Amino acid sequence: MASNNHKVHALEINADMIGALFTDRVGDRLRVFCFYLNGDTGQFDVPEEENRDSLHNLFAKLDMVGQCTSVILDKVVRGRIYVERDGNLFSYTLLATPSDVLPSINVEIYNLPWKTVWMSQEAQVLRLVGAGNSVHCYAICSPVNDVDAPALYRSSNAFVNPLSVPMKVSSPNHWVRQAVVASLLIVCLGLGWWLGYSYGHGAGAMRVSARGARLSQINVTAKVHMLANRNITGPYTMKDLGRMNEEGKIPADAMFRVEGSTEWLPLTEMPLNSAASITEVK
Amino acid sequence: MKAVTLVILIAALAFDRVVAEKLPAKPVKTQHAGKIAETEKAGDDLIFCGAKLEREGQAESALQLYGQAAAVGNREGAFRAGHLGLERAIQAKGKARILGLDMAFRYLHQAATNGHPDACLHLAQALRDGSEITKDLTQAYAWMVTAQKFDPSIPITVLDQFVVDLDAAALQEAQVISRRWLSGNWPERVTPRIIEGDSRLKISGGFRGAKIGVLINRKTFMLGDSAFVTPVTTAPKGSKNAPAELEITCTAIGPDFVLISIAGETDLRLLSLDLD
Repeated sequence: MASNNHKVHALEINADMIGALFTDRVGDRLRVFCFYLNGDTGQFDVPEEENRDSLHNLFAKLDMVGQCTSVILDKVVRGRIYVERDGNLFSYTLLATPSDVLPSINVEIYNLPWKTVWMSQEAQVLRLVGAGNSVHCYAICSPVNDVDAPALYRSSNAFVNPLSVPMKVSSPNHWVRQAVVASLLIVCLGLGWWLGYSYGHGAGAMRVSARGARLSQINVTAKVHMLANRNITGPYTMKDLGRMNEEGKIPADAMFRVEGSTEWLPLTEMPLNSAASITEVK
Repeated sequence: MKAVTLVILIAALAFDRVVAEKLPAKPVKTQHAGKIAETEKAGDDLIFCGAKLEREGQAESALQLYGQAAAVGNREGAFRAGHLGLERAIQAKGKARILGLDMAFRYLHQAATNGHPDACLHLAQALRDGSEITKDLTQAYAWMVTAQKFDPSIPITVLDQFVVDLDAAALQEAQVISRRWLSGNWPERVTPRIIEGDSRLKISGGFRGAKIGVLINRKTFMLGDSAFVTPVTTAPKGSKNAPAELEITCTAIGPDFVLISIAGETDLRLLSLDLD
């Protein structure tokens, strides 16, 4: 009964205790979600107009001014996984919560029974409750632009194209499903290998590499400029480039830029072999 | 046989899909990203007034208003303060020039790291010229790439003027640096911070001959000289608490200043000198 007579007039947050901060503007209100270093959380809404200075001050302490409206400090990040789902790319940032139910960082992370506890246009704060309500952990789910993804992986030194990320077992159905699918795939792969081998293409069929996937991002019909000896020349077709390479006319330290791009790449990143194979088909 | 393999493969994938649909729906709803960065509007009025004063020739007052706008996080204010400050610093001499350049590059750095393409271009040009700050062609190109990301209308030919300065290793490094910056890991500053005075160092005299020399902590330094000096201290001589010697380098000497770098410290120290 007494609590009905109480009203919170103001609220202070110690920026040094914040591990992640999310803000969102909805109309004339600011929505704030804090994840603290001890794994605790707090969220509240305030009128934007009269709290702008306080928010600016908090942003300044977290070195966010003019850069972003949400931040996750590295010290609370356990790891991050990028998962493609329904054609869209998402990052799941698993926060280092002091509890014992931290799930594995693998592709099944989005299949866990997360509950959304806070949501803005840029992020969803997810909570996973373990045995007993006091045991829990948090993750942040954010959409990632496909175009920016390669640069993002590079800048964050992420391991790309992992071949075997351990799967998390979530239900008996899951086991059955995985076993059946795995068996069928093994049969298919075996048949495919046997057929390929029989026709003398076994070695070719096995040639799958991460580099091949990266090269495929560059269109073989694209034209490129070459930077060598502090001089930019071109544009060249991939076919020209392949011929020049065979004739030894490309300096070892030459760099190449695909038309329409700003990024310079070494010769090893150019799809010269693909361009040659296209020519042969013609 | 290939057809049989294909049929089995399709069947396997179809089975996977059917089983997947029977599993509980994924609990997380998704939304497409909005832009995280937002433009700071605070300070626009200050910029408007500052621009008016600048047109009227009151550069000092304009600079103050731009500085105030920058202080509330306005990147245009920071850029204008940096640009105007740079113009004024270049015309100044001695200590005023050193401090003016320091302030101007701090403002340009603030604007650039908040997404102002012109500020990035200014930094790139300054790092390429090397007349006001230490020349660094790799960082110059990194700022150019960053500027182009912020403003894609910057022609590629402008970037090309910078890229021909670099060899392959420097070019790749510049691209890595730019990506790191754009992911939010900005450099702390583009020039070392300049701190006026240092209680550990004392200029006891100077002389002007063919070169300017200066006596710091009882040792003589010309431009570029490095030496160990005993810091000025109130501790008794031979005391166990006597501070360790400092290795200092005289990086610039003017008629009214000496700029000192100290080994192991990132900040530069600006000491006043009066040769007149």
